[in-house]
Amino acid sequence: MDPLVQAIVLILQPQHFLLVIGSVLAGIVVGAAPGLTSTMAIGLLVPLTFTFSKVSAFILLLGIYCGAIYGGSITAILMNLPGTPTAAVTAIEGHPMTKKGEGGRALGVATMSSTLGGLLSCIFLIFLSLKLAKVATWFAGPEYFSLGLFATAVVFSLASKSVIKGLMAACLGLLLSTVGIDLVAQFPRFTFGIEEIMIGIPPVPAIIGLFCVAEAFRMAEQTDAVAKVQKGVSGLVVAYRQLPKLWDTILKSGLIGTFVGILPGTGAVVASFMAYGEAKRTSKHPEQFGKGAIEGVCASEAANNAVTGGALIPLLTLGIPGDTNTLMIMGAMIIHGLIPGPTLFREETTLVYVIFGTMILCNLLILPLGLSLAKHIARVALIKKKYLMPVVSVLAITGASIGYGHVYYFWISIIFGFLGYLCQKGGFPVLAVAMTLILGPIMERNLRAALMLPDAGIMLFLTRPISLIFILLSILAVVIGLKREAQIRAIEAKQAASVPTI
Amino acid sequence: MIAEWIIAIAALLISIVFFAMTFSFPTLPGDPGGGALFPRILSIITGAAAVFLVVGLVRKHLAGAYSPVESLKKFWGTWRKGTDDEPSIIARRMTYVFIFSIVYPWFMVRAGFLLATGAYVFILMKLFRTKTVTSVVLSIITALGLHFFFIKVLEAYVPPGVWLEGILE
Repeated sequence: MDPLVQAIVLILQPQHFLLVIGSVLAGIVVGAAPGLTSTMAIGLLVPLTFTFSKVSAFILLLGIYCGAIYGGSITAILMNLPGTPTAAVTAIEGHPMTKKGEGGRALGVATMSSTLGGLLSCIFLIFLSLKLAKVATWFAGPEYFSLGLFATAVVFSLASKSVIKGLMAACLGLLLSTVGIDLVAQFPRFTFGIEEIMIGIPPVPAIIGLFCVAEAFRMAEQTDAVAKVQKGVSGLVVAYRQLPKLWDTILKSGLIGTFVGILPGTGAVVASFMAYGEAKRTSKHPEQFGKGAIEGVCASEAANNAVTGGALIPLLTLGIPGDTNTLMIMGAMIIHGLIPGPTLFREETTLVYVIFGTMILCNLLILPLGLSLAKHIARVALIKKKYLMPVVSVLAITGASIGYGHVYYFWISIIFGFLGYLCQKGGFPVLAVAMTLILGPIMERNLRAALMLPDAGIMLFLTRPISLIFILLSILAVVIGLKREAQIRAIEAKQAASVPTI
Repeated sequence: MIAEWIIAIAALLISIVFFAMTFSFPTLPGDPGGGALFPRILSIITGAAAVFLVVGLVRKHLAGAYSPVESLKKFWGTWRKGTDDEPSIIARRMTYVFIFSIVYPWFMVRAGFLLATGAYVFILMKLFRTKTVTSVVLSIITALGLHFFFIKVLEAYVPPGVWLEGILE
């Protein structure tokens, strides 16, 4: 049977179809709850997928991913409590609309924009990833090393305000990835004689530690925000009448979200802000922004859901995660023995089409689920942290590691939880550490394979066109990062100078 | 911030130690640089970045902008202040959360998953000043629920506890 037809048949099987609905709904609930993020939800669910088939595992994780990105907008609009960081921009315009009695309209537009932005990115996901997978067959050792270098450069340059902190975090992650047995020479590296460390630092528990355990620690120092659930929210469905005026905003924001999603280390927050900024710049009524401008809600939501498709493109084709959520999904791929890249498209074609089909279905389901249940889902914001934090903490420490059957993996989650907590406090990008833990072995393997070629040297990486392009792009990313840091410092210095002193 | 100092100094120490250790790695004839090449390059870059950061932090300290010692003194003062003060409550809570998170796996190996998880959840809830009855009920439900989920659904190995094995024998 043709893989595409097989994929459609698989998705439409009752158990898979119900799983799609359930996972999107669960994702929306998780996204709506302040303190729980899509990254955390995916991370905590990764161990659940141990006993699932590959198809079910990816349906579950992708449903959570798409639903959670949208879910944050519900509490952002109705209560000014963004459920996820990506909804912070939506709250700027959405909550003032609620205060004016237009909460339903805002929610309706947010839901429709999320659906349409997500669907637009799915079109790019399908066509670009099929093309890129063919291009990736030209890649050899030097290209994969340079690609890893480019991804690392983008992450450390753009994921934090300080390039030097980003560089240090990325190199620390790469260095930690070398711990364990050297697969070529079969020699233990940096194990300090401890038997357990011979297996190295397992990436899935480490990444869950960096994001989920660290987030549980952060919950422990927060107080519960005072929230009130809106009694009546109407006008969601008729918000579709706004769409003709918002088509260009949705299209532009969807494109921004898709292409920001493709860049590693950026993600939905960056996409939301960029799309919002662009919508304000091109609006006929920019003075309304900040006071309840429907275009602002539309731009933010279309962009942040468009990231979902965009971020999957480099993950599936090149094995480079586009954001923290796809980093977690990559962890699930490792658990299921899947190798992203051309091999995936060649050997798991049906699964690839299942992923495409699931993404389309998830984005479509956001519309009916969001419009009918948003008012009720907003109540999750009332769950207090004193109940949430202990459960999340236990799940984060044990969930990802229980399948390995040794307490060493629990220690990894906890130690990396501390590291993630300290990095976030100190302004070091946690994503840089997490991504390089995964990229490190890939980069080292390909570097050494390239250098083993006859007459190979550093020029090998500069004389192969694709490798040279990635190296030049890496340098460009660092230059852009340094320029951006200088601009931020200049603005901060100006602000500090303008504060009157006694 | 104190976190910047900790990360920068830890990174510097790791890079120095790792760099020194790379000289004991073997090399193979067809593998230029061997297992030492990649970590050695990374140690140099990490160490250089860490030195740059530490120098910047020392400058800030000398300029009076930020002092890690003062920050630690302030934290200790907040910790000792009293149980009704919000920053003091949070400072104590964070300290105990870290301590009990480290103790949790150690205790799990000895007392088993059920007991350790129940105790951990109970302690965390009490740190949030949850009522005792609620804490007991929720910790039992969480421990039993996770135990069932891990064993029946995931078919995973869950530590039975060394102390309990001895008692049961």
